[in-house]
Amino acid sequence: MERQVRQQLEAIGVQVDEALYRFMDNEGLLLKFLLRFPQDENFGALKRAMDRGEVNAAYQAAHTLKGVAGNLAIEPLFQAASAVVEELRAEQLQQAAERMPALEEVYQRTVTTLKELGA
Amino acid sequence: MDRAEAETILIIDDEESSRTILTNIFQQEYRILTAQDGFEGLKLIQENKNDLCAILLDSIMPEISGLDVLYQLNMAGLTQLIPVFLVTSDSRAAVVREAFQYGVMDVISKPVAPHIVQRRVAAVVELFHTRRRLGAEVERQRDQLIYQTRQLAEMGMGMVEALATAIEFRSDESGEHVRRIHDITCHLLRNTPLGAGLSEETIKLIGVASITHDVGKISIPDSILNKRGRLTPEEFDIMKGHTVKGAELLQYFQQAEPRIGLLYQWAKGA
Repeated sequence: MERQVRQQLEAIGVQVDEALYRFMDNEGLLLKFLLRFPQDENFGALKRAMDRGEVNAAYQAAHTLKGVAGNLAIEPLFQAASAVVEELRAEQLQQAAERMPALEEVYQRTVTTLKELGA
Repeated sequence: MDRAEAETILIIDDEESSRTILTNIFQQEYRILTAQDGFEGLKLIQENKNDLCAILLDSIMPEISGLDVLYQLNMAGLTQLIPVFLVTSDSRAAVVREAFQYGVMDVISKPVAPHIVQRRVAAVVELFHTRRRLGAEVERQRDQLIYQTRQLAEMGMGMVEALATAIEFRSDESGEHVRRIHDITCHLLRNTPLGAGLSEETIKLIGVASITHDVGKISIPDSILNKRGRLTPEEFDIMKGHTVKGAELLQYFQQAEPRIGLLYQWAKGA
């Protein structure tokens, strides 16, 4: 992987070796998924479900977001999403809402960097 | 239905990167089918159940969950035929316990580590293949054994018939006597209350046994067997001994057809 790309990914906490291993060293496939991540709709779906107080829909979206972040080894995003998932699994909407700003911050940072990489 | 060489893996996951990662792991060695939700997964399983060697099932999906899919497969008896792997980030005791209750083969945690999932799935697929091959082999051998046993029994019957016919020739009767006794016995058993409750197989067996009724005459000297006129009391005693000799002789045939000896006793007693 190009050094500059790797550095940018590492700046948003992507564990590049972990991610490459998951994709069995298919770098092209991994980058395709990373660069496409900004189009992923789960964060938006999570926010809307939280605003409406729909625990189930929120849980589904948060869980999927966590899954993608895990697969791509975007560690900070994975951690922040996991925290929200745990609260929603326990149907603690209020606690989940309290963890949303931290998730949103990490998410925006991740998406901004990945968009730059894709440009 | 020969599932011995089934080599398609079905991946059911609502999230694209998970489907792609699993496909990337297995596509070198297996044909891959993917489904984006439980309904599509169940449909593909119905359509391809003879080709599937494993199902990789995500647990948390919208609409119907992985556990729901697993439950339905279990109810249909399919978890016995196709190993199902639950691939999940939710490995709480309750989920795992329920999955095993519904016949899951293994639970693999997400995000997956390629070599671990590859090795675990391949080992189970190999096990199922071997088990099926062995099952088919055992079935083939059992069929062969049944066939050979039947052939042996038929050979035994043939020997009994040949022996009986030889005796009848010796006592100056035509071989037709043997045939007639056989036919009359079977006719009576089929058409009169004498044969009530007997199966066709048993009737045929008794028919063959009936022709052995005089087989002991082989031990009676010609001078007595073919004597014209009345037998002396001593000669008559010897003549009567043919039943005992017959029973002794038929013991040799019991190895080929154990029922013959018993039926001989039965025929003589009747």
